Amino acid sequence: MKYLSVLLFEWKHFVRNPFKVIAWVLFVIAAVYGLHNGASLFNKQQKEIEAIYKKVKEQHEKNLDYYQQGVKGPPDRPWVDNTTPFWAIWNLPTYHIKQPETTMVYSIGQAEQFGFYKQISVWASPYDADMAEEIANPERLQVGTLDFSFVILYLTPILLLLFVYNIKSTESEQGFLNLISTMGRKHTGMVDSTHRILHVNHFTNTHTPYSIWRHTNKRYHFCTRKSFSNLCCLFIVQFRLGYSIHHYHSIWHNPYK
Amino acid sequence: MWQIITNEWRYLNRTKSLLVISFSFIVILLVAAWLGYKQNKVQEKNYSEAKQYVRAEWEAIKEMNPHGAAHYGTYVFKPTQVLSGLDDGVNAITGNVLRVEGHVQNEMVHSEASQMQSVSKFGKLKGALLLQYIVPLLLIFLSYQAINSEKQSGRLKMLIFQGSRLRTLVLVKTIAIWLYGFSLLVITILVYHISHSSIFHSDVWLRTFLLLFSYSVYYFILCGLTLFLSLRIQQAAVALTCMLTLWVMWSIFIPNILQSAVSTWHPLPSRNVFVQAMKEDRSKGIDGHNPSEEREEAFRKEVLAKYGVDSVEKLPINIDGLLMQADEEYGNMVWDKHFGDLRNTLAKQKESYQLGGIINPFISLQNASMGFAGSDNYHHQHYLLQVETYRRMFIKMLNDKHAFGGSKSGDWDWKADNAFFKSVPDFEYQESPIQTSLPQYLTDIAWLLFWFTLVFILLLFGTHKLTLL
Repeated sequence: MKYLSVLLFEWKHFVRNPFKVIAWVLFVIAAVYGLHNGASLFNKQQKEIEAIYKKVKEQHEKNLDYYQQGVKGPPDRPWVDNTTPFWAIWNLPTYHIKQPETTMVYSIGQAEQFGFYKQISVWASPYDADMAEEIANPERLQVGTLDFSFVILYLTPILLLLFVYNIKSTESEQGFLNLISTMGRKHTGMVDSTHRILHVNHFTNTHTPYSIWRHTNKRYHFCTRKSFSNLCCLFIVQFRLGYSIHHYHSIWHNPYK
Repeated sequence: MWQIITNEWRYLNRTKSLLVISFSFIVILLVAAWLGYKQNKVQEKNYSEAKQYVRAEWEAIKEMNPHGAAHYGTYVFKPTQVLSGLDDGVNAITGNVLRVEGHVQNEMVHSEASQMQSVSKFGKLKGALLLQYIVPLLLIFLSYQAINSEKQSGRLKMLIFQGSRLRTLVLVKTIAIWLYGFSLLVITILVYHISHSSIFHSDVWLRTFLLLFSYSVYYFILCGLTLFLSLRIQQAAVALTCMLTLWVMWSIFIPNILQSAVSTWHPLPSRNVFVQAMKEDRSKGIDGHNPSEEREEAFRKEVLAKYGVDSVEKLPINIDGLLMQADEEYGNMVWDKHFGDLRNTLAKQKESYQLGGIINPFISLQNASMGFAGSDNYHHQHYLLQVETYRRMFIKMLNDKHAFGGSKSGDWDWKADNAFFKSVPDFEYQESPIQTSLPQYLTDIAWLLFWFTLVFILLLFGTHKLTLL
């Protein structure tokens, strides 16, 4: 009962504070937006790769056609002789492709700084100029893309700080804290249960945008076993981090120490 | 007025934690400025070494077929700008090595950002990183504290009873906090300039002045807005939360979202589509290596008629050089068309992004900062265009040598001598002076001044009717 009532009070504290709610909403929007960014990059790369495969397939079929028709190459280029190895290889476009991971949706990393396909020909080398990354505005890359990992790594701590910064201070400023302790409640117990509640809150924080995004984007099935386990790891790390921060906070501000 | 400022500074001086913060801050700023300077020096050294090495290799060519040399090509390097140690802009993203060769216009590869995760995420530790993100945060806390402490201790009411006007008080307090930010700014820039003792020329000073101007306007906007909000909003913590949210929105969210938005409004082609389109356009022309198409025939006839002979063998010159140059010029036309479109799209993206300054002065500050430091995309494109002009001159010299150097048509074994290769000039980058690029940044300056006026008006007219009880 004790924990439950603290939980309910903390819930009220959160709901009645419009700025915390706004901050939370902004956070969720940012997270959904981050996932959207990751997904659109993933889709863009997929689309590009499909276009390349299509082009390669068309060229293959064209070459096979030459064989079937018994000609050596296109009629307007008489010097092309596809029956010789040199021209056969020359006219067979080969690409080496870096297939994007489905987990790219969560974290873009350096995917935009590199090319993800390379045409292999008789002249190709790792020093080729076509290893350049996808055409992009360098100023956009310089600002950086907001992805889900950015939200988790940098915005969650800010949100956590915003949530906890006045959990205790409002109570001590308004004199509640002394009141509670004179009522026989152990202060540390209260702080501790508050933290537990914050954990639940935190879990929903990171999980909500993810599930919202999952439900609005049913056509993506990114939740492979790998990405799921990665996400779980993230949550656990965040849990521990969050707990340490709160715990430290409680020791630092313990009026009875 | 002077009294309030000195009083405020005395308060700042007496707050120990603030002194520690300021001190460590100045140290970090100095380290950043020094590192920026160091990095510039290293890059300059690498630049000149690489440049000399490549040039020496070129000049060491004893005998070679000019067209062979065109394939062999050369490398050009982007020199560091004097102020890029303060704001590196897009340099880490774009890279600084470009291969110049015949037939194709290459693009820069192997940027710093692609080699370092931290660079691609945060950018390098340059003065701008601290001056744009961290100093504003400090100023927000200070401005909040300046009003809040007066409010909490009840001094504010007392001061008003004693006859000082709230309007003057707030305005002067803003100036006092702003002066603190301004001094950090000046220290950073001074240290940077003292370490770069070789830069005393007017262009750099003008750029520095404009940098200083845009940063100080932005700092004033932040200080003024925080003071105004802490006065207007009764709960002090809410005012601070407001400002911090604004800081996150301004410096992280909006730039990010807006950049993604403008890239969908004015989409760039994918590399695959772009290269394909260029290839198609070019194949409509004549190809120097496979000279059998119509254009080439017409050109051949034209040359024969000009020299009044009936066969290629009788020509006193090597027609292959002329053919290749004609193809090169056709390729240049294609390049101008496609890369011109690309540049136009980038310029449109930039213009739309600059308009974002109306809701976010941080965008204007960032644009202005990069622009005045000479490290934004505009300056980068300016550099790329110069390289392309050089490439055209470079290839034309080689093709002309191939045509008129004394060889006959079809002779690919003919070799030009060392004196010729030495006579091909090296690439020298001419930096664009600020006067020519200044119109690009007028929008940014205008938005900064708009926000400045807005905050000033808020401070003047938004505070005088406040009830302090």
